[in-house]
Amino acid sequence: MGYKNRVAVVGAGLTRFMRRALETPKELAFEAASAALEDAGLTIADIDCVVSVSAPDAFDGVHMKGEYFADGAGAWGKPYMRTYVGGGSGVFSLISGWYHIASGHFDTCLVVAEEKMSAALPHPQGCFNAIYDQFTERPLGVNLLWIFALEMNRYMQTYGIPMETFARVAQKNKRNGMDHPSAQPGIAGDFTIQSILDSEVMVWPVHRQMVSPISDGAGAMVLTSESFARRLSKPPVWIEGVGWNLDTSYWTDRDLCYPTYVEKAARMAYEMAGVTNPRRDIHVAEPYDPFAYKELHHLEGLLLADRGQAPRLAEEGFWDRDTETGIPASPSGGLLGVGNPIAASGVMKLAEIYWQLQGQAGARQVRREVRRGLAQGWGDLMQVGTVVILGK
Amino acid sequence: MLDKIHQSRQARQVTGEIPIHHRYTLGVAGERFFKALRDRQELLASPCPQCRDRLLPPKLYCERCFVETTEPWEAVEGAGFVRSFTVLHRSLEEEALPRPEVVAMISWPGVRGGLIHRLQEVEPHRVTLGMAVSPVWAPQRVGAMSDILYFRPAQAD
Repeated sequence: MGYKNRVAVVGAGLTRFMRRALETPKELAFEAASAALEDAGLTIADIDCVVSVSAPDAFDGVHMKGEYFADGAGAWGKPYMRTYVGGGSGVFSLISGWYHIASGHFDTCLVVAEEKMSAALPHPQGCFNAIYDQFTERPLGVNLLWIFALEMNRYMQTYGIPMETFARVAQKNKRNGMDHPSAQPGIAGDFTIQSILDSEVMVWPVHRQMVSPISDGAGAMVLTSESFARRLSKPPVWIEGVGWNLDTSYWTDRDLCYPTYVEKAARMAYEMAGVTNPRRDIHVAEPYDPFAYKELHHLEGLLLADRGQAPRLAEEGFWDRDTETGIPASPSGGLLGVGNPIAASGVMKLAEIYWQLQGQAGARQVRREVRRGLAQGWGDLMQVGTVVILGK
Repeated sequence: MLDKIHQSRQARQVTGEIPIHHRYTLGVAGERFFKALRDRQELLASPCPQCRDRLLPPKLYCERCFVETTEPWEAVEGAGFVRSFTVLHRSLEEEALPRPEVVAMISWPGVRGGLIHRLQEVEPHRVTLGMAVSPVWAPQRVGAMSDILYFRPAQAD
């Protein structure tokens, strides 16, 4: 494709995710960035450029927060940019870092994601009210849950998916999250299907235990060119494919049953990676799961299941972490099991694929052999899909 | 093309706001800085173990060396000095101020950084770069920048 550099991932780091951090956004960014550098065995002097991501400024309550926390991201005296595709930003961070290096312009890039949602009162949903049309939708008092509820209802009724199946996804991810050192207190756990079904209905059919929480946290990764990576002691993981795609901004004009934009993003990434049969060639997946149904919805968009079939596969354990014949999905615990500091949670998913491929995932290591995996994000006005394929 | 944009004075409008406000944590370094301000009337600086700079306000890390700062965090001593200043004539809302106000960028010998604060008890035309200044503390302190009411020319010892 004419890229100058093949791009390697050589380190990753996360803060703990939590409901309300004492740390400032700058301090969270520093902790994640220095952890990623340490994992890579590098220092800031080795870094040529810095990319940061964060979701809306309104969460942290700092205007131009990418510039605000730049010092915590290690950007002093370096080429720096913040890229932004809303909730898809976490996964997009690696795409942005990738083209900095693929272009041939830089050998190393530190990618940092930060989010501090707890600053927003009375509720971060107030920010989401203002992403909708100010004439037609905002006067209704819309928040983000509405669109999820409408989408989930359309999806479940079209395919006749029982509520128990969505509860099973939440149960799986919350169990997986118990083994993640960054997991937000109170989020992960061994919950029964019944207790998840019995949790409060927030906006029908969305139950509280099927929604990711409000979180603070940060994540970071270190990318290098192939020649730089070959000099390091750890074997690198390669960015094999990247893809991103945008659906319409009008939520009334979307196909609620199927995320076509995720499929387009995935196809772009598969083509670049030379993946012709995703169900054979993708061995572990981190689909974006801010809601339980979203994991299934996205797995279909990623072409890892036929339309309407991801729920049945969930019931068969195909997406479980200990599957030997399926594709483990969200072995990290995902947003449902680890937490959802928006941009940072996308990096958490990428870091999980990196650690899975490195065999560094500890108690979360999947049982089957993995040579290639993907992470997927989703966001903007709930219409962007971002996909990164990593391989070794 | 330009003809299509018309009747701007007759345009109907709706008012709106983003329904949100914020509550900020001071952070690890900020907690310590503002507690010292409140309890001991001290301005703490944190030292970088690598470049040896002392950072004011204190930070958890040195952004240049990208390493954590170390102990001890010590208070700056003696008077600060004016690195630059300005004289305000209009408010944030662009209203005329009843009398001009001086705002100064203040630093201390041997530290990186400093504070921006009001400078009073001096006529604007008498302020000079390098002028020695010291803080005037609020009698009731809460752990915020307002614990320093303003700076004024340092008294000659």
